[in-house]
Formats: sequence, structure tokens, C-alpha cells
Amino acid sequence: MTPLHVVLLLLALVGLLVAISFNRLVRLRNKVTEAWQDVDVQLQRRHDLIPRLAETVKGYAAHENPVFEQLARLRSEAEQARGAAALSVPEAALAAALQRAIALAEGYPTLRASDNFVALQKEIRNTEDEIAASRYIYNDNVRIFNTRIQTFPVSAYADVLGFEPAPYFQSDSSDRDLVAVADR
Amino acid sequence: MGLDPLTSSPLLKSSTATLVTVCTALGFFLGLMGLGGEGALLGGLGGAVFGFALDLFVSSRRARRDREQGVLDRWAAKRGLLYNASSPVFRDTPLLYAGDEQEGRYGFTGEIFGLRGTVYEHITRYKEEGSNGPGGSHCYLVLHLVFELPRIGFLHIHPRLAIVPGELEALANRVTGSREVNLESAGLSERCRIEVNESCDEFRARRLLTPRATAILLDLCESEVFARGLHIEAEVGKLVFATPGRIDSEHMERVDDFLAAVQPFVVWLEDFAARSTSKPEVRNGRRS
Repeated sequence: MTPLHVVLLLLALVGLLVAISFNRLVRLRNKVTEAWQDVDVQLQRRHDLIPRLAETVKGYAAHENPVFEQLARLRSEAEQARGAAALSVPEAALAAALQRAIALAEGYPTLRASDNFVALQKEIRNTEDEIAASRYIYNDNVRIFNTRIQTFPVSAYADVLGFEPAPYFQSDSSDRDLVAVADR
Repeated sequence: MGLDPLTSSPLLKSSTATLVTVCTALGFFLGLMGLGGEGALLGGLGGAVFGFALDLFVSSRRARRDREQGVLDRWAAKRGLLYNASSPVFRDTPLLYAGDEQEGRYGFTGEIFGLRGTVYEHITRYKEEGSNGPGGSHCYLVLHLVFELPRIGFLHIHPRLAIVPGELEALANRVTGSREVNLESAGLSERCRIEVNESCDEFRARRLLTPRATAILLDLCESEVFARGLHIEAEVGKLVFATPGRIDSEHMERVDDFLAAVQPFVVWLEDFAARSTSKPEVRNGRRS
């Protein structure tokens, strides 16, 4: 075997390893995207529940309308944001406002006894649990993907091949951020 | 644990005096036969010493066994279970009927998480092909529950074998009548292979394996209890959790940790079963 053959063999081996690594990164990136789709679906479920909550409460506590108007505004802001990084703050503010609205509604005994409200509460609770789980899975996928592209030797060519770190979806922001968003 | 031949023999169960007397007499007789008059005395003395030593050994073994029995009985009683040293052995799922022979030990039976079940040590033995060699064995800590998973024929979760290419796994699926469920979690996909029966469509599988269920499974995979592998098999009328390991009477907290780790997923499956049986599925405007 001549030195040229050895060099060609080594190059072929390196090329094969890079190809295998590339495929793995593509699969990981797709997993991150899939996990984000799950989060998005659950966030959409939360958004859809807000008008139903407002409608259910309206008949019992009409003077609490400002609370639900604020909720509607936060929902609108959250729906306009795109991507994990942009959504973290508005969704956290929306989640906090939703919990406050439910706590407020629970102060009305007749509403608390209503079957519609009880069913809605259960649905909201299930949705919040699913959002928490989806976020956990998404962030875990992001951690695995980011670690893979930032460690050697993949870090040497990940950038060249177009792989960038994915953003985490934070569960909450500082109180200052939440207050600033909610009070606008 | 089973029967200990050393402590269950009628001779060895007798008192110290009887044992020493018998050994002395035996030693005396053997000495007399072998060496004559002087030998008889030496033989008797040797027999007495041997008798004392044997009694000491058997007593300590018996005390250890009784101590172990006490620990296991107390552990079982505290949890409302019944302890059975020679446990019933189950052979009703692929993991449990694998191998050439199966044995059960340290069985605890009763109500677990509201279901009838047994937690025990399951031993699978393999014989060597074409030889009379000893072969090998695998030991599992197993929780076997009586449980019906509605609308899904079976659910199998096993550690993924990194050395087996995906194409071979797909081929194996065709043979076993199963299909793999690909969830969004990269961590779970790397560690585990999740299969359902071929006739179970994606909608039904996803109704069971929601993000919450996926997060629970991910926690299970990453827990120390299942560091050596997570096996879950849900089939008609049974639900099995298993991990390589043994039951050790001096480390029963491991069994506690095992039960605590699987509880969230059992609760999830019970909730899924309750939801599935309370209302029919509605898809595309049709009930099924």
C-alpha cells in the first residue's frame, strides 16, 4: 500500500465519520423541532382556554372584567411572539395572570360550584401539566443538541455545516420582567 | 433463599448435646476401626471437636437465616404484603419467559399501588448450546402487577441496543408484530426502545404517551434505580417493571426506591385506563 493509498483511506474514514456525525446532528435537530411543536400545541391549548374562562366567569363576576381584559392582552402578545427565546417572558406572564384570574374566580362560591367552571379548571390544570412536561422534554433535547455541537471534535465543523445552538424555553422570568409586562 | 440443606437436615436441627454425642460416637468408632484402642480415644476427641465446630457453624447459619427472615417479614408487614421465600415465578411476558429456566426468590405479594401484585427476584438461566456446561444466568428485580391496559395490545419498553442498526430492528418488528413509537424526547430515544402492537395506531399510542408520560419515562430512565436498564412490559392483564439486580435483605431500601420510582408511571397508566374506559374515543366524528 503506497502512502497515497494510506492518505486516501484516512480521508475516506474521516469523511465517513463526518457524515455519520452530520446525520446524528440532523436527527437531533429534528428532535428539537418536534419537541418545540409539542410545546407550541400545548401553549395553543392554553390560549384557547382563556376566552372560555372569561365567558364562564362573565355571568358571575362582571366587575372582574379588567382582569380578563388584561388576560386577553397578554394572550395576544404571547400569540404574536415566535420562537422559544421570544416566548419565554410573555408566556410566563400569561401563565401567572391565568393563575391569578382562576384564584380570583374561586372567590365566588356560586362560580366555584358550577360544573362548567370545575371542568374548565381541571382542563387548565391538565394543560399546565402538559406544558411543563413538554418544556422539560424540549429543554432536555436542546441541552443534548447544544452539548453535541459545542464539544470537540463536532464543534470544529458544526458551524460550517450550519448547526447553531438552540434556545432554551425558560419556565419563568424575574419578577421584575413579569410585573413590567403585566402592568403595561 | 429457599431451603438451606445445612440447616434443614433433621440431624443438624437437633440440640448441641445430641450433635456432639453423635459426632463423638462416630469419631470413636472410626478411630477404633482404623487405629485400634488408642485410635478410639483420639477419634472420639476429634469427633467431639468436630461436633462442636459443626454446631457452631450451623447455629450461626440458622441465626443469620432467622435474622434475615425477620427483616423480610417486618419489611413486608410494614407495607401490607406477604413474604414468601420461594416466590411464585411469572413467565407471562417476553422478558420473564426468556431463557431455558426461570426461578423466583424473595417474593412479596399483596396490594401495590391499589393493584394486586408481587415484587420478587427473578432468575433466568441459560444453558450453553451443545455442551453440559453451567451456562449463565441473569437476575432481575421484578414488579408484576395485575393490570389491563385498554385499547392497546401491548406496550414494551426496553433498553436500546446501540450495536443493533435500525434496519435490523425494523425487520425484527415485522417478525414480532410490533412497531416502534418515536417520541420527541432525544434522551429517551437514545436510551429506550418503545414498541406497541402493530394494530395500535399513532393516535392511540399518543393518547397514552403524552408529554407528561414521556417526561415520567425520561425520569425513570435517568433514575439511579434503573441505571442498569429499564424494562416495562404491559400486556393483556399484566404490567411488569424490571431492572437487573437482586433483592438483598440488608439493603431493602433498594426495593423501596424501585417501587417509589415506578409509582408515577403506574399512576399514569391507571389514570389512562380510567379515562379510556369512561368514554369512547372520538375520531373524525366517529366513536370507537
